[in-house]
Amino acid sequence: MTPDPLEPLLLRIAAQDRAAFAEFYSASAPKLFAVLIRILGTQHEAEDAMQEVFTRIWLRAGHFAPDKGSAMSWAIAIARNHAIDILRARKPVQSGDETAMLNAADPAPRAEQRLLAQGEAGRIHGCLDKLDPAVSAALRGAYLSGKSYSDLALAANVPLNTMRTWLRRGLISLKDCMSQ
Amino acid sequence: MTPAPRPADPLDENELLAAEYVLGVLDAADRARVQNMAKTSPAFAQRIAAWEARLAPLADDIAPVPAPNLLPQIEGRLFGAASPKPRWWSGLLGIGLTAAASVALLAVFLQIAPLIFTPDAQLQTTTLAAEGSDLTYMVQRVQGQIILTRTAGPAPATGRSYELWVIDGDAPPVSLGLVDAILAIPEPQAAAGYVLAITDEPQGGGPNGVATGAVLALGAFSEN
Repeated sequence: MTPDPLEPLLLRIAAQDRAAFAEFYSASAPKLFAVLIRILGTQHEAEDAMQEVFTRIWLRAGHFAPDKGSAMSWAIAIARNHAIDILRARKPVQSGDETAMLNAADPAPRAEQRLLAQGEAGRIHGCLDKLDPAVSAALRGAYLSGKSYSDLALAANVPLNTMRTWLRRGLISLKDCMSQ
Repeated sequence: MTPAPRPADPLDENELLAAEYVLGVLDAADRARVQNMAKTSPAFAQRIAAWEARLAPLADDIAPVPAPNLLPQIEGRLFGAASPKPRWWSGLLGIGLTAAASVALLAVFLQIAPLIFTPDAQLQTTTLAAEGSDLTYMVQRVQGQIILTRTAGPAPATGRSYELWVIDGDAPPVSLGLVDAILAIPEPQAAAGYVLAITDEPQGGGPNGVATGAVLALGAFSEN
């Protein structure tokens, strides 16, 4: 494993180091902002969410456990959780959002990113490749878009239970594959 | 690596629930249920953390984009515009008074508004709350007394106590005693206002009068 450049910053943030917080912001904001825009859809909402996400990063830095994953993964989890909570608190989807929903399913990762991927990352992409391509695309799309079972079922025009069974099967296969 | 026995047993329901939560496909009610389970069960929280690590590489597919510099606003929120140095509670307070807490505050406010707007009313009410915690206390200031009443959240766990602290500026927190469902004490004296915080401590309170546990609820009070 290459050393995680954000990890020492996060440990300093846990000790209330504001300079480390500013550095962490510069280093992680472009990625976290991209994650938020992807899920929330608008610049404006992503900006509001950013403030909350970095507030949580400051407050929760002490809970970061380096043995559980990288500092960036930890921050991305905070961003995704907040964005998905916002998404779920919204009014029911208007019909105009359909296109955005269909666009949410992502293409396979770019080749150069696969080359960069290592360890766990290499494993999950390898395991996703072994799944039924439709299931693997649905898992990626769900993770990246933050859409609920009902939204995904609507977009794919299948019953909700079908979507759930499908994705659950994918998750089980994925865990199985990654633990080998 | 020893070749692991290949169990054919399907993942149990909690494991799937943790995976679905991290994948982000649950609806609002199920998300809330999962977040509660994570709060009360460390084992379940571990499952979530494991899935977060497992699925994290999927975020590699998201290319970074130029982000606006929101640091000044965020720092303002966390540390206050004029605060010369961070106070350990200031960030929590900012969070504590957002969204859900504001709704709770508003509810309490509407309830007692008739009292406050009576010209000779001597009653002020504030809610103690914190992000990531279900615990809230209503605090009423009446004629030199403060009365804390638990309005949401569980009683302390077995072998644990809730401890009430007063924080005056940058001074270390001072214990005001243990609190469960209700507590009435003389109002703390502090020229520039104070913060009340409730932490989770071992039964009987933090050892040597020092707060050791998580802050479960807090709120700021300005001097009359």
